[in-house]
Amino acid sequence: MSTPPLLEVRDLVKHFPLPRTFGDALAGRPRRAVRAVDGVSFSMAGGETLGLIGESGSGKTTLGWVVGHLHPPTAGRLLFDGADATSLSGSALRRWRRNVQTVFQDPVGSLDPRMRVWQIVGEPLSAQRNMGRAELRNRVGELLPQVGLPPDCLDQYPHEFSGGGRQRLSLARALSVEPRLIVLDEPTSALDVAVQAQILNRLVELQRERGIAYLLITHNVSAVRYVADRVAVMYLGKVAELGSVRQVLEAPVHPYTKALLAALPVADVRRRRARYRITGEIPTLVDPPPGCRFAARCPFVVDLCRRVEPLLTELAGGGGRLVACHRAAEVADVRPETFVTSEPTAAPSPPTGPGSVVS
Amino acid sequence: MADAKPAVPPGPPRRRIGALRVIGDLITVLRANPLTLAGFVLVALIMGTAVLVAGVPFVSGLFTGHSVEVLPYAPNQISTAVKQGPSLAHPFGTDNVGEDIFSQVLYALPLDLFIGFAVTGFALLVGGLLGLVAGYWDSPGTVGGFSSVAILRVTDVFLAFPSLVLALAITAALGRGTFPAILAIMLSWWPYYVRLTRGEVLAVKHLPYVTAARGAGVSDLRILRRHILANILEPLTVYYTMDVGTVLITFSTINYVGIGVPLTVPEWGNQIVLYQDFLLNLPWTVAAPGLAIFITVLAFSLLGDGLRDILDPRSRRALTRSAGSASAGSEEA
Repeated sequence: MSTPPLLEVRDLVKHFPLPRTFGDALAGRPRRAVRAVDGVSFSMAGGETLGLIGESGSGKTTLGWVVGHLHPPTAGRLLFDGADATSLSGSALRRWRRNVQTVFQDPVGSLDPRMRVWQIVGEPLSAQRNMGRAELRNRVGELLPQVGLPPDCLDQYPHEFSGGGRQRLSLARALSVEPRLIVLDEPTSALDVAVQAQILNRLVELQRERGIAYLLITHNVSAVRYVADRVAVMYLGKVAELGSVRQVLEAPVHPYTKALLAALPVADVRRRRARYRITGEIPTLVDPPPGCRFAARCPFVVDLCRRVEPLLTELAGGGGRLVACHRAAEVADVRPETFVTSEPTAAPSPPTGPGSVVS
Repeated sequence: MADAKPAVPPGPPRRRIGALRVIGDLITVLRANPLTLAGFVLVALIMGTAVLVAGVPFVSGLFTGHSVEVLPYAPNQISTAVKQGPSLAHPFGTDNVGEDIFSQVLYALPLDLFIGFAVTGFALLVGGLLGLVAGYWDSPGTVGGFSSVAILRVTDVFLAFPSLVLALAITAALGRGTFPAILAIMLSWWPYYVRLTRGEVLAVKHLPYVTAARGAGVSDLRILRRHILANILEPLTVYYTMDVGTVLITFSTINYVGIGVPLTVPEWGNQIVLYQDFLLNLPWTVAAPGLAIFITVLAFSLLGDGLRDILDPRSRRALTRSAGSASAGSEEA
């Protein structure tokens, strides 16, 4: 490739230090930290959508916030258009914000209740350069129809909008500076299904019109399937699997991806068969055990997994597909449908009938 | 008005913009809330009277050379009408040497009000500013974190003493006088505002819209002003308004104890001290300044309570809407 990718993330690490307890200090133990993001690398091309999925606590939102420069990274590098953008401040950071904007999960909380629509949506614009009130209102009036809002609601307050309307305001705010990358942090998870579809459609249309790249952080697999080109599956601060949406969601290789997909409710009861079982909670991010982070819950675990951490490597013949699993080749053909994620109701023998329910 | 004409379709009769609309809402809210209305009217009356009492003699003195008095009697004007109960000539009666209590109480009003506002104003300014700084820049290990800790520890030292005790101690140290008394209350008052402001800042600064503003590229100072200050102004204003009354009570208490303003200065607390021996014989001499304190404190409390509703756009709209059913729905479609 001759042109650098739009965004490149190299070994990004974000630790949140924990307060050192008195006992730790006495015992001479080092300061501990929550390893929210622990060495993540990926790159994105312009106009591309990368989905980032994983369960709560996997570090996907933290990763998005680091990319959006809302948290400084602990280590690693961030490159935008091939130029280093790891630690920015002042006017350099302001220029970066013209290119990268973030849409937040909470459509209620992310809009200042005391500001009117034109002030909220125009905020990134007026932060970039001094704009007169009339000019700003004009510009916002043009933006609102693009996200499906009437242009005459400039003087309303956010509480006068529905959840979907507020998320449209957030979107309009992000679009106002015509960024090249938008970090979408769970943009639809607070909305009901019909509104989710409207917002996702709007996102896809906007991308087609303007070639904006999206980093779509979500636990909604169907949203990823619908919007994203590629998808990265995160588990405990690391990427478990990365590849095109079709590859990853139709033929998952990493056991965690399989388990994640198996946990989705499926309408067809006959598809449900339980051969492998994922048990337990997601382990703590404070002191992750050596070896593979999924080892404690993985049905395919072998001794090697507990000792040596698998690296994210390209799958043989996988077409740019990256998996972090020692047994990737062996487990590749196991279907996700053969997983259950919790104790089946009809223990102890592995239930095979249609009656087994997965919660 | 000129800038409210964007290239946006005007649509149906637009709602009024800006200050006009706030005043409109205010009137509607006041009509729906008799207690708030009472607070507003009382505060307006009190302030108006204070301005008249202090202002008219001063201004007329400036322009005509001799000051025109608004009060029927000078505050220490002795007359033969001694020990009289309330009447038309002396609404609050007279004392043992024939001084008019009504004139005395009104004469003291400007001073007492000034002290209430000066002390709370100083506390709000100093304490609020320190609280903003301590609350917003508080990440440990940075300059901000250090200054935050420094501010809070100094504040804690002041807070370790009850404000009245501290004020009494400072007055005792500085000696008697109007200015030392004011200074004493000021010095003991600001720490509460540091804590209050800091707490409010901490509650607001991690809200998603503040993060969103950072993500939008808004500068720290602007976030502090537009998002944080704007959103904590409401609790601060409410607290401030109610606090004017508390300062009045503290000031009167210091004077009552006898270490504040000299007894020759007409002030409500002083008047109560002077007349407490007549409590049984001439009860009006004590009741009048006491009632003045009571009404002033009540007025500011009612006003503060009402301000809470008016300053919040959400409850303002709700109140407007509920009141709007009675008074023609001119707002909203």
